[in-house]
Amino acid sequence: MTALLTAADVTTGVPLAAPDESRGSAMMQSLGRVCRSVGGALLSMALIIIIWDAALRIFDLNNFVAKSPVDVWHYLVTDGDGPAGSAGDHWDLLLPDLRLTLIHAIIGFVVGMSVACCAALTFVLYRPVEATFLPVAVLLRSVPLIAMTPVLRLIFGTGFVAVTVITGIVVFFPALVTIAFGLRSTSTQAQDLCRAYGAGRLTVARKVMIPSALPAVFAAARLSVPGALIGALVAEWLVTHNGVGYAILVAAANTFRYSYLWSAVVLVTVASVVAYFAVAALEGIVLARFGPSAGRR
Amino acid sequence: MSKRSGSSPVPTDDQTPAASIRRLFAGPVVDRRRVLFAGAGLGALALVSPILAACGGSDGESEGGGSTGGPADFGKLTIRLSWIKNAEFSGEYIADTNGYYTKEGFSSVELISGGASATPQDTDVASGVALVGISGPDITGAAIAAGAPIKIIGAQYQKNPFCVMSMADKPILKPQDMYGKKIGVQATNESVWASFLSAAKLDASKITKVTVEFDPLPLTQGAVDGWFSFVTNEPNALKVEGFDTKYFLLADHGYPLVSETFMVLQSTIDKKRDLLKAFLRAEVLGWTESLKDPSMGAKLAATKYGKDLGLDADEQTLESAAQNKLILTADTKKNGLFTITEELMKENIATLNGGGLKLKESDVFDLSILEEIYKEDPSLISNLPDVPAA
Repeated sequence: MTALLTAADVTTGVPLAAPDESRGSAMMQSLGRVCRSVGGALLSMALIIIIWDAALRIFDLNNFVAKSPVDVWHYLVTDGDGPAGSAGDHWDLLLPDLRLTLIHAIIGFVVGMSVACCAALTFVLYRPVEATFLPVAVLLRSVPLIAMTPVLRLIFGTGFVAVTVITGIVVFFPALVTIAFGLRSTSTQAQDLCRAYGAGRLTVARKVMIPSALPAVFAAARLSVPGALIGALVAEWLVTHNGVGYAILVAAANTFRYSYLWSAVVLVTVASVVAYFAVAALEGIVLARFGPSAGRR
Repeated sequence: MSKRSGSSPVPTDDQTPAASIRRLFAGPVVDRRRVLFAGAGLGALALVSPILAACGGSDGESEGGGSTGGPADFGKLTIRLSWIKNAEFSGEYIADTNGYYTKEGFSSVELISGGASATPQDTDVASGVALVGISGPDITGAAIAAGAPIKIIGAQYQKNPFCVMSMADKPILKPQDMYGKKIGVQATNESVWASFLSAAKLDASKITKVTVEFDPLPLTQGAVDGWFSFVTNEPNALKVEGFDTKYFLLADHGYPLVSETFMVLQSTIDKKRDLLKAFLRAEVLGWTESLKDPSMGAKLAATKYGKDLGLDADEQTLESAAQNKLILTADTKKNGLFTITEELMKENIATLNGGGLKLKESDVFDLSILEEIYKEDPSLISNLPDVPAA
């Protein structure tokens, strides 16, 4: 590995692809990473199903409430025409809710991550800003979101803005801390080198800090995927009264549609796992540009 | 999950989102205990599982004929209430306080509170968390249609207590008046609302449904024009606060369902008939007292069973008196409390069918246990107070 190191390593702190390495091998690198992500996704879904089924058996849970993977499979795939409706009918119920929840989650994710990136960069570049605002951020973070929701609802209403804010908050804080840490652990020699060549603060950020914080950004993004979904569900449940968050509340409340509830939860989980590994795959592609060991310390 | 509006003018702890979350994660008592047991014994799971099963079962299905007493030892009685512990369950409080349940052979009684974000009571009975649950035929019917092996064995309210309440200066006096208006409906009441619209053949597209919490503040502030609630609760709560309200009962407009019905597992009916008879006798005695003096249960609610809820004893007495009118009618005075006449039964089934539940009488009701206790002891009927003049 040391043989492959180039001058670029000094500036970024991350080993870059050696110039003599062919483009094809970089492609192979990304492909390998993507395959590993897909494999990981399948493996974790299999694991979830095993744990789920085992838990039902070990705790001997009542089947009226606790549906098994097989029940959900019937509900989503094999149910024919019957008093409970066909699998197609079930999808007609599920899809609009799921679509809305995913839109909520994606918007919240994008907004939360963008704001977190900007804030982290500002924190690192202007230390006084960090000293002033980080304690506030930590303070806000330690108030449970559920407790804040009624207040947020008063401020932002019961529409799209409120969902975006609530989901954004869930995404924002962990991402902020992770990204700020990534930016700060940039090699100081690399920064000094840039400054010696006359680079200003922003140039150092662009050439050194941001590239070397990319692994942290992706780690934050991966962690934020389930967070965004949880935020969207909570917001739908307590504020907007639509989407999966509300539908599972109504399904569990006096309508006894437990199969719907479990199926909706399964689909949200699948969406979460898929999105997690999609981010991981994207991470692989981007980091492969910086060499085989980029992002792994 | 409960099915209607709050009882006290002050929003109680049960209704806050924080409480909702707590409930969500706390879950039913038995589940938590199972988890604890299981957690402790994970290492030796194979050894522990039979014990686990025994622990789990003891809450839901009290075994008859234990070692401590004579033939009438039914163990612990768990009743899952349909709402928070307000005057709605006066009869149960009196029966517990006066020892009617224990006299009938139960070793102890646990009243499990419902509330805005509790698990539906029918789920608690279907999954064995509670032995008896108090619910309504529309909710229980939905549970039965979803595969819950439960049945209704008696009905406290002869009339459905759901109403649409409005402010006296902007009254909504019949269902058609709701067209073009905003009606506040709680998330947990949506199923009842939907089946009412369907059974009463109303055009849902002409009514703006607004999802609300349980505190009727938005109605008094004019944010909505109507409020879905129990006639015994909100109208009295607002009356105490000085607001004048009007209402129409769903029961008078195409939704003639009984309510506050007792439901149990079919297996309990099959295997523990004596236990259910003992339970119903204690209930009749408790409610007979409450009919004679509506303030008795109200006081117990405010000072003992629901003392953390901030209930007002006077307001609770109003509620208790209002519900007595739904319980003691010419029919129940003649046939006994909780009975349902042939005609009313037909109306109930027709209403459920109209609301989209394709169920027969025998799918939902089994009143034979009730008939037996009245046949064995007619004094349960003759001791009832007179029906107050309308």
